[in-house]
Amino acid sequence: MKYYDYCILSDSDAAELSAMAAKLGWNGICILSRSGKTDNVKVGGLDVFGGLLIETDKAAEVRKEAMRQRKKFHVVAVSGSSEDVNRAAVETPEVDILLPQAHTKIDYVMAKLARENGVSIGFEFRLLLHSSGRERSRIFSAMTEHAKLVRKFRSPFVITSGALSEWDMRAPSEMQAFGRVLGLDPLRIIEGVSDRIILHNRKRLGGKYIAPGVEVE
Amino acid sequence: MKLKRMPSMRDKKRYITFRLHSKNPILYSEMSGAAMKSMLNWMGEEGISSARVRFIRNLWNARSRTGWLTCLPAAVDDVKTALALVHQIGDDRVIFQVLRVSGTIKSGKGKLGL
Repeated sequence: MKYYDYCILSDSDAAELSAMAAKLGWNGICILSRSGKTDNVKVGGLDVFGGLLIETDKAAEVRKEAMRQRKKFHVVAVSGSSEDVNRAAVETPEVDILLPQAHTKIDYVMAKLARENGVSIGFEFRLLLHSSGRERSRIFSAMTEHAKLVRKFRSPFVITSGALSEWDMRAPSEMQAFGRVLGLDPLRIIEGVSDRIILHNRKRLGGKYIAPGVEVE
Repeated sequence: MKLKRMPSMRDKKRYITFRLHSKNPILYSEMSGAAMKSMLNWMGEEGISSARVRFIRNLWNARSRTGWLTCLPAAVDDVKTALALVHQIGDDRVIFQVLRVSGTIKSGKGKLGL
């Protein structure tokens, strides 16, 4: 099994990030940015690739931007700044990951749509790491609600550090423990840190892929 | 007189081996204090007492910054999450990385090659 962290939001040097990721036992990391870096490099056996983070307040822009940029990036993520943006993200099959922010929620309709469109719901450990007291308890409560919906409707999910620097990264085993504490399905926890998304997208961007189940030989 | 428990009434334990990543050396007291504070915040006083969390001081290796703690099997995930929530000791940014969870110290050392 290969472990991938899909949402590193850091502007730090990729070499520092990848050195720490390798120490912690990751096989690959995706560095998300608004502009998006398309370079796909191997740093000391670690698979480092760039992804696009769509940050907008307008729901209509999510679909437009995702469709426009899909073919350029291995991972397209949306920062869920409002319920409308969350809804637009799960309705768009071009989006890979929805990262609901601390103050936004998802409901059962969105969880169902996420499963139908293959959009993974993200659980960012950083939101807990950089909060404390009442705020942390409120964020954790929202996350457990999301986990309950993800479990019930079998929506895809990713457990990620959401690191802003190399010191915010955590090892895959801690991410899995965090998932179990949230109440995610213990049998599916491993999917949350696996190479599922990148394998699928590399195949999809490979040129031979036409539609699900249809490929050129 | 040493009070004993019946062997059948003893709790099962899990030994958690961890490594502390930091730029500067960290003292054992600072490390255990920060970890305990994080566990108190995350699990609460009742949670910590029912998890039977205990650091093993003489297994702390200051050179490799590896250490051991024990807890009950049911509390392993909470303890791992609480350790992961420690991000700073003093002015140093740190990362607690759990290396191994084992049933005995011997098996933990054997599998880690310590």
